[in-house]
Amino acid sequence: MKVAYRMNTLYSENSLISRFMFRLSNQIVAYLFMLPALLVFGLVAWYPVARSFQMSFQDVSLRGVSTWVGLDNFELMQRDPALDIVWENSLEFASWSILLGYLLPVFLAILIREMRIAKGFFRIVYFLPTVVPVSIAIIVWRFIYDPDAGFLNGLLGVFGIEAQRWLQDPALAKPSIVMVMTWGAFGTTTLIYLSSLQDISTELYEAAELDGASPINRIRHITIPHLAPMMSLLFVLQVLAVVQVFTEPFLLTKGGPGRETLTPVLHIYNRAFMRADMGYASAWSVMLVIVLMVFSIGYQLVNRKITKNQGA
Amino acid sequence: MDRGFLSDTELRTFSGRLYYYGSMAILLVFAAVVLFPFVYAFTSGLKGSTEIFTSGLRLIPKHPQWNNYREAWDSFEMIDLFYNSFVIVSVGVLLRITISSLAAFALSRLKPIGGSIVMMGFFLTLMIPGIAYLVPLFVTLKDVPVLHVNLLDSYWGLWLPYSTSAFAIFVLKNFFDRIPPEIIESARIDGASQLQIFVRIMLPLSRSILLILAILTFMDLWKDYLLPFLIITDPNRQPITVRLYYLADNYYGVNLQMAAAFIALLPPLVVAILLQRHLKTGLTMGSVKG
Amino acid sequence: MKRIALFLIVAMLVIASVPVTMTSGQGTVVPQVVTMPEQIAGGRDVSITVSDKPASDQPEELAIWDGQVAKFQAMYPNVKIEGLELKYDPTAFIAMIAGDQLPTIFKTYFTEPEKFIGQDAVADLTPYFEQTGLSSIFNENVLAIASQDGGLYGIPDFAYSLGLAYNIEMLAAAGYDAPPATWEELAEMAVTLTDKDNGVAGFAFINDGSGAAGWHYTDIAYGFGAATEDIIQANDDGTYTANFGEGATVDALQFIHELRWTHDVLPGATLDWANITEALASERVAMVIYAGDQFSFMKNQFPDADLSKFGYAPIPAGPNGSIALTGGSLWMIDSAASDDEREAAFYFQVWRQLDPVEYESSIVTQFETGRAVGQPVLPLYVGDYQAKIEEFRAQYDVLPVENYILFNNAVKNGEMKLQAEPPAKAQEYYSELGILVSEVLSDEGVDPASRLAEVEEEFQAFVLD
Repeated sequence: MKVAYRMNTLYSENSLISRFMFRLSNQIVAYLFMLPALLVFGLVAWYPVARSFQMSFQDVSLRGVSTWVGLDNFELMQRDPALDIVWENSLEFASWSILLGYLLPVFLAILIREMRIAKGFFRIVYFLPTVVPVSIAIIVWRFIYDPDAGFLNGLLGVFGIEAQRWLQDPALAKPSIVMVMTWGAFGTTTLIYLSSLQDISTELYEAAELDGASPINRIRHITIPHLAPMMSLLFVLQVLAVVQVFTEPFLLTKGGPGRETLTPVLHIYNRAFMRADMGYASAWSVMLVIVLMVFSIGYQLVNRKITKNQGA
Repeated sequence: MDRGFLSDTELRTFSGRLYYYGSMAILLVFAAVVLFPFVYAFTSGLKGSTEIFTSGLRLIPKHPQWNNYREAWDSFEMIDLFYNSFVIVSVGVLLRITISSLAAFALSRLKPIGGSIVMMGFFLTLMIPGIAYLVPLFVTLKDVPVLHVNLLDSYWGLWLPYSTSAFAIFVLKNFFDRIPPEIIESARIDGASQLQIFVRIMLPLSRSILLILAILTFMDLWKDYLLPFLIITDPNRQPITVRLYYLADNYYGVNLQMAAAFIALLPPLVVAILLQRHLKTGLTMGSVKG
Repeated sequence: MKRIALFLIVAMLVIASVPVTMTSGQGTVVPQVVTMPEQIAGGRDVSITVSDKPASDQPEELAIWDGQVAKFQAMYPNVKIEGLELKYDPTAFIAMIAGDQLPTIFKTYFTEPEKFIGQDAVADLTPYFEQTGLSSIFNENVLAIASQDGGLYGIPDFAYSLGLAYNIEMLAAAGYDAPPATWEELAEMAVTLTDKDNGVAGFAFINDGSGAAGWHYTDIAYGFGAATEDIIQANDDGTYTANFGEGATVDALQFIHELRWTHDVLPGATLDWANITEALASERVAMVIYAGDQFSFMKNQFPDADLSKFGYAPIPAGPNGSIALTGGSLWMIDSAASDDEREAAFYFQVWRQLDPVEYESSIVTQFETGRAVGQPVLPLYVGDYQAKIEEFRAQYDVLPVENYILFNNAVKNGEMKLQAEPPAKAQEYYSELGILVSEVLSDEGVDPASRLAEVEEEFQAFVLD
């Protein structure tokens, strides 16, 4: 900037040129600051994204020459026996995850907020699973779920319930995996809600209390509306995250039993890195991106409409 | 006064107490559920190789085999695994913070032409799941354009992807936006260059946010599985998430797996407990990323 | 990927039982079959990387390795060998193909050549086999696995077939003095052997929904009388037709369905290649479909396991007798390697595999360090050479080979036939069927016949057409 400063004085006669030079050098400095980010993003994000799109129209050979095949990969997708199942699974995973893990953090956060002691304790404890690598936690969870020797079936046995095949039963595999995901994630969301709750002015509650509003009504009219924007945001993020889930089903069930826990990303992984069919896997990637974008945009539109209606 | 939707007076009534202790009980039950896998890993790690298959409900082993922990420590080569993860993750954090803050500073203060387009470019990467370009990422890292170096099986192959975070750029830009312009103006009049302003004014002012970002990034990268699984094929250089799982899954009895898992779980737990003060603020911010 | 030449029915070697004689200590029992060249790569400096270097937690194996490398480098000072502690993994290796990261020479499984050859990732070794005349030493059926379109792409280093491993004590306790001879018998015995209260399953096979599960299923289907063309048929016009939607394949799947839902003799846990051994070793299953080399795995990974408890028999017989699928491993060379590197890699591998001194000393060391010697596998070589190495090895058997007599005799006498894999897309077929098997095992409502027909149609449309 020193340079620019001097230039400024040097060309003070001609303010137009000097201003231009000043701006130019300013721009150069700005882009120098962004250069590392631009280079790295270009290398490991933008370029590969473009390549992925390109590869979805190719028969990709890892060593040799890739050939253009037009829409072949997308046509093949229509014949893929996994196509419908994978998206149904995603929908079911998302539903289970919303069911088990969406309202729970709201509920727990409200409870913790009321605690007069041990708030910090709960905060830490609930947060602990979120720092644990999934691949390590799964070593433990897999044995908790073990149908013959696991703790969970031992526990059921106490109540005289017969042993369940948590990860091998089509009816249980998805919720069992979602349990692991929820365990690993609900702490973060609980803390987010909790800190949002701390922002509510206590005067609001006092005023409501003086007006004779019951505790339930205070939650309904003060707490929940306050949390609503955050809840709306976290809803989308949770769905997006669940549709992209990979590590849990990959390590716990490999997509089984049958294809019950096969997710889009796991399928992409299988095609690309087990079968070496990179072109076809890229076509799936493109489809996944489209689905996620359509969902996010659609959700935002609907959401905006609702808020508008409420405002009116 | 600290109060929630219930006032202290209400809490002293009978139903208030009922509610209070009821909810505490619920919270405690959840805490127990949450902590259970850790406890289970610990005690199962003490069991014998056959006892573990017959114990069912019994958590506490009959004859604790403390030796299991030593054996797991040795046979899983824990020190190496921790070391690998530490190197991978700390350099990743450093790069991400450096690159992101530089870019955020430019976007926030230097008003580059096309800045909003660049910003959109960064955001694009948040919209597209990583797996969608994993395959070409691979090919790119194998033969980096222009430089023609191969980054596969090298930590650079992880550090470069780790150093990109649209989220970090976004958070830092927002933070920089809120720094009063007068502070910077006064520095500029003193003749400070933009780099000096960045290093001497912006960074010190953003210490807290940088620390929080660093902690969040550290935890995030420490947990990563898929990328190192694909990129680092040399078993001696793999991070703990990849190598430990592989060894556990392929070679060792369940009791040793549990012991090893418990050892591997400890450091993140300790870090989380020690740094939880910073995390409180960090997480609210993290919500944007989900 | 074109078709790969594969086994048809393999007539097994009859191995003369040679009385055990101790070596004098000077010469070797095993004959010299490989003539090592004077010079490798014309004396030019060449360095190669080799997979499967033993890790530091296996000091004995590592010592053998280090010794071999030192010796070979002394013989050929221009060759530099770098070992990689890298074991085959499908994902990692696809990454390595893409990244030009393959080791110069690496070990992989019999299931993989098709993929590597299809990606042009491995070198044709025909010239070296011709130079050394080694193709005549190997069992031609095993070589066929490494061959495609006239090229020979790998050096097989061992071959096994599936068999039935069983817990002798458990069978005896239930009043059985022999393993089941037929699939019906197996089902009956499994019912008796199952003890759910104590977590014991009567029978198990790989059930994790992976290709390995499809592979075990296919072995059962062969046992029920399916021929390879009943699974995938090669047509005259070069196309393929999926045929597994009816016939013996359905019977086999129905059988699995009954084992699970009628007889309830299968384990609840998901068992893959590794932990099916743990289940057997910890006596949670009585009988399993097992590969002979897995006894070595058991011996090495589960030091507490008492191997004398386990017997090994041929796969139970069906309408066509006892029929087994084969597997094994082979060494392949990166196609990106230069001629010099290929030469060095090829000779290093055949030397340490076939050189009499190397072979014998590695067996002796394995014996001395208590590693598994004597696993019930298939003869990899033919003629006198095979006879001689068996003769030599017999002195050092560590495993309870008397427990494997049923299997070994069936192999020797040709009672157990080896049947080829389906002629095309075998791996894709295995993985589809693995998924279906896991479906059948997890859901009683699945009708094997109609689901197989559906999967056949999907497979035809998605994979073959």
